[in-house]
Amino acid sequence: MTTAAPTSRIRRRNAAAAIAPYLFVGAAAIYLLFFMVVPMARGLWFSFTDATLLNPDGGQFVGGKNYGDLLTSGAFYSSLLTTLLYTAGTVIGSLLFGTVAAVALSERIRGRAVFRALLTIPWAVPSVAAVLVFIWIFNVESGVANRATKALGIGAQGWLLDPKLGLLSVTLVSVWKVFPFVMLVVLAALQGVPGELREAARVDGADRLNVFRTVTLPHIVPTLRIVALLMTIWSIRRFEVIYLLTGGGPIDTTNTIVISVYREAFQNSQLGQAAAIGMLGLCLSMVVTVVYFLSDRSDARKDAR
Amino acid sequence: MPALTFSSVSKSFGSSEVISDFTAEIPDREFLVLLGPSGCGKSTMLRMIAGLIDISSGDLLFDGRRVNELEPRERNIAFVFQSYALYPHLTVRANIAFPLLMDRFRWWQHIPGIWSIERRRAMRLPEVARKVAEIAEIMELTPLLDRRPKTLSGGQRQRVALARALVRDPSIYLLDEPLSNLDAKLRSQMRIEISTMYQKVGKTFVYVTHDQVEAMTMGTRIVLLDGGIIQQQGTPTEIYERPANAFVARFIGSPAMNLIPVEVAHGGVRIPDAGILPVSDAPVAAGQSVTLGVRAEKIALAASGETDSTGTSRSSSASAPRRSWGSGSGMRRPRRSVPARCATSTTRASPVRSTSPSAIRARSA
Ligand SMILES: Nc1ncnc2c1ncn2[C@@H]1O[C@H](COP(=O)(O)OP(=O)(O)OP(=O)(O)O)[C@@H](O)[C@H]1O
Ligand SMILES: [Mg+2]
Repeated sequence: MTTAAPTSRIRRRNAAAAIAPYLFVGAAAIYLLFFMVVPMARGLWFSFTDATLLNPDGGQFVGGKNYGDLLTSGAFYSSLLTTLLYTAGTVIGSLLFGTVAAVALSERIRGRAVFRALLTIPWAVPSVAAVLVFIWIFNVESGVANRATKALGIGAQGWLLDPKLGLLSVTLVSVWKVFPFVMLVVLAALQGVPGELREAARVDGADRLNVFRTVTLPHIVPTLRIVALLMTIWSIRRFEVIYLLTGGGPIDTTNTIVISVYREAFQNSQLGQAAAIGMLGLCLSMVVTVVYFLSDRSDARKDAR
Repeated sequence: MPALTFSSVSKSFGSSEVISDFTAEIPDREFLVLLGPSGCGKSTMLRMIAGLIDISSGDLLFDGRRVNELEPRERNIAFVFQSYALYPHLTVRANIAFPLLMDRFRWWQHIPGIWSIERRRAMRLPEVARKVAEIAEIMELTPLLDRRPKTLSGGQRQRVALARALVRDPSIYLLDEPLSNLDAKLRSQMRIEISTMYQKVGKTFVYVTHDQVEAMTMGTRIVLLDGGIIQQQGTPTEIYERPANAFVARFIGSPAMNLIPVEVAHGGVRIPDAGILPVSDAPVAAGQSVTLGVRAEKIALAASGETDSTGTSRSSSASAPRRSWGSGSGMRRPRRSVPARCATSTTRASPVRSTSPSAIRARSA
């Protein structure tokens, strides 16, 4: 009798402890269910119908027709290629630029805090404001970009109007907009590079580049990988910068998958078709993620040896 | 190879002075030990010699040439770090070979792609492979050559760090507590390895340790630091037998030197509750209070009532305010810890009546 009370109390406490994790996870799960799974399921359903924007629920089931149309149209493949080019350019550009900036900022230079603040601005300003500034910069008549090219003797360029330059301009602006993120994350990783390792490399006769290659780079590679993954996924889904700069033009040269989803849905009112494009875009993101984790795992296995 | 000259070398981090006025003259081919308690500035001193941190003021000379501004690699040194500092993504073999590869590096190999090919080729060069194999054999690392540092134990890592420093042919070897993480057996073995290496290469070694046994057995010259200030410099025997002040007397020797407050009397010193210990030519006038320092091994039991002690006093011009009496004899350079021969006789009364036949020196400092 005397031991029963504490035991049952303990049992009750154990039961509470067993339920607690589900309560915590449950809240997140419900949130995800409502705001991710339901829309995604609806999107998946739409992609098999001929729903239109004006009558979203009145679509008829059309089977794989939307997908069939896409996979046989050149427009989809060129949109896919644009997405890949844009993503590659943005990821490589921002990683390169961000890493260089981070390494430069990690040196003990005068006014480091000021530079860091200045270089973080692109990431901090709203996309709309940044894009407006770039539209002025790229203005054919009076933009800074064209004044510079004129001064260099290259002559005025249609930065956002020339099909040859559209994707390049959009990529440049995107890199400018997102590289501070890479910079900040790499800067944080650089703080963790053991000072004695760098000193050891210096004593061993390594010059600055070799110290970077032997000590710093291997240390920040895991960080760079995860940043590269984030940058890739974000680039695949980036909308606002591209849409505000060119709206997918000139002549569809910046028409990435996300842009074409928007255009299909809200300009052509083809909700079903748009949903199908969106689903294929989702597959692309998933492929990237899976490839990343597979390569990460094989690297980890190599490391363990 | 070079002789090291330190003239008033000082180092401050911000407003705190870590090394002050370090002046020493180290001849070529010495095995210099920087000894001192934790935090006294030994590593800082070593880093200044290596050129890893700037010297705040004063000059450092290698063979008469000022090297304050030289980069570490221009000083031709090898360095063993306190925390090993192994390259984590390289194998043990590549770690050891790294200094050799850097010696062969030419600037144009920075062109992307070139070095990765060149590196592999250099690793296979017979002279590189042979040197790595040789040093790995000495350090007993041969079975570990293809492992990564993080799969090694602390002691194994330390040996890799040693191997990496020893593989090259520098003119100065700088070692920062290279044996602190080894077990007793391996430590004495590595102590011998390093000493042998020192005998063989005939270069200048600067060895940081807080272990007086290492200092005494390996060093040909010791600089004892406390709080960034040189307490004494000299050969191990000098430091053991003639400590410059009470700090040195307490720091060196195991057990530490007995420091007994005494009063100078005619013909000797009066030990409270114990009588007079004869000391010839006391350095200060009778009636003064001084400290008597006696090494435990100088004390032996004698038959009751009998005293058999001699002492000579020694003056020194050192200006430490503390008075101390040093005791010592012409004994050999001490090896390892001194056997406590008279452990039972170190009660307050007995040591006085029964000191060993060798001389007791008294000093006022
Ligand atoms: N970068 C630095 N900035 C400020 N103070 C420092 C710095 N490096 C060392 N110090 C200080 O200088 C003093 C000496 O440090 P040092 O590393 O030389 O000690 P040490 O004698 O090697 O000690 P240990 O035997 O524990 O390694 C310490 O008080 C330490 O706090
Ligand atoms: Mg240290």
